[in-house]
Amino acid sequence: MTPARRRELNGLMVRFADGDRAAFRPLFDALWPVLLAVTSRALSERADAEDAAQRAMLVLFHRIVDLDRERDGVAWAATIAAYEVMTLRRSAQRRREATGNHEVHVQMIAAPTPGPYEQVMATELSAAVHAAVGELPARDQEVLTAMLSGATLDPGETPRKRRFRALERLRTVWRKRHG
Amino acid sequence: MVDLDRLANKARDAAESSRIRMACRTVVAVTSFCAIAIAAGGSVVPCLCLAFALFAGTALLRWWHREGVEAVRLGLVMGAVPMLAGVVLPGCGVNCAPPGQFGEAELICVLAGIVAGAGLAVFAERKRGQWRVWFLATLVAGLTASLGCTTLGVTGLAATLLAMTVSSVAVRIPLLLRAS
Repeated sequence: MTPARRRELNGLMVRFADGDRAAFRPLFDALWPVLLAVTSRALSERADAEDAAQRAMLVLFHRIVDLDRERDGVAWAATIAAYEVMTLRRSAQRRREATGNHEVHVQMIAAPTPGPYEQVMATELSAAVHAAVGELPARDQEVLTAMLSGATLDPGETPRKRRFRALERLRTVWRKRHG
Repeated sequence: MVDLDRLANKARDAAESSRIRMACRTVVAVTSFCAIAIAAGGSVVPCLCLAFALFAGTALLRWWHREGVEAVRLGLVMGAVPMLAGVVLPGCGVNCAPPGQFGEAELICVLAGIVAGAGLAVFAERKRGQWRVWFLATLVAGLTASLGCTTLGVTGLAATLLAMTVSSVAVRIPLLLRAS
């Protein structure tokens, strides 16, 4: 974005925030490509990027009256878009955890594949995962083993939270072992 | 594919609802002023009517434009000076004069009005869209002052409002001449 274009966009944001309703459509049309560019850079799926950009647009207009006129409005818009990307990623991760897609992922890697290279990789990866799980406390091992084998947890517990904590600890151990 | 027109409508609604919410926040200040005025012995019905008019006016101004936001802020602060004077005086034993007469309490309220008017002119000078801000802030300050001056009666209230307006204009003219 050129400095002139940035200034123009900033000016539109300030005008609209100040109460000039006529600035809405030009501002909207100018902001959409900016937000979409930010979200597209962070998300590979076009649909996800558009989804995040739409949410960012709504959040931005919802908070436009609080616009700080001394600061760069474009940077503010990009921050909102980045935050929406983060939120989208987090909710996707939560969905994956809730539906046990990690298990599918691990199983996919561990499943017998036609090529010898993939087989070796899958075996090594599976061994590495089990070794990392082995370093965790017994309670986490139980949760993760149940996840990997597809078994259900005790109904008295909160499975999602337990799984989440166990996975967090597994991530820490994984990072320590493999960087 | 994103329906941009639909998204634009949603964004416009989001912006307007947020603007309305921001505008209605003035209810906190207006309610406090009204409660103080009633607690200090002001008549309930006139106080409530004035508070409603003040809330409607300030909310509309804040929703309309940023200049309205600034005018409301300035008007409420400056209007609070004569309002508090009108509220505090009866508590300090300074009683109002009989209807149609001018006593100590009215005089103090008029002085507070003069201070508020001068403040309006000076502070409006620093704002963007000075004329509109000054004019609207004076209206808001007048309504705010009226809330506290209901105990003074019509004479005291009219004198306070007149003093505020005259002093505001009197201070504004030299400021304008200096600026030009």
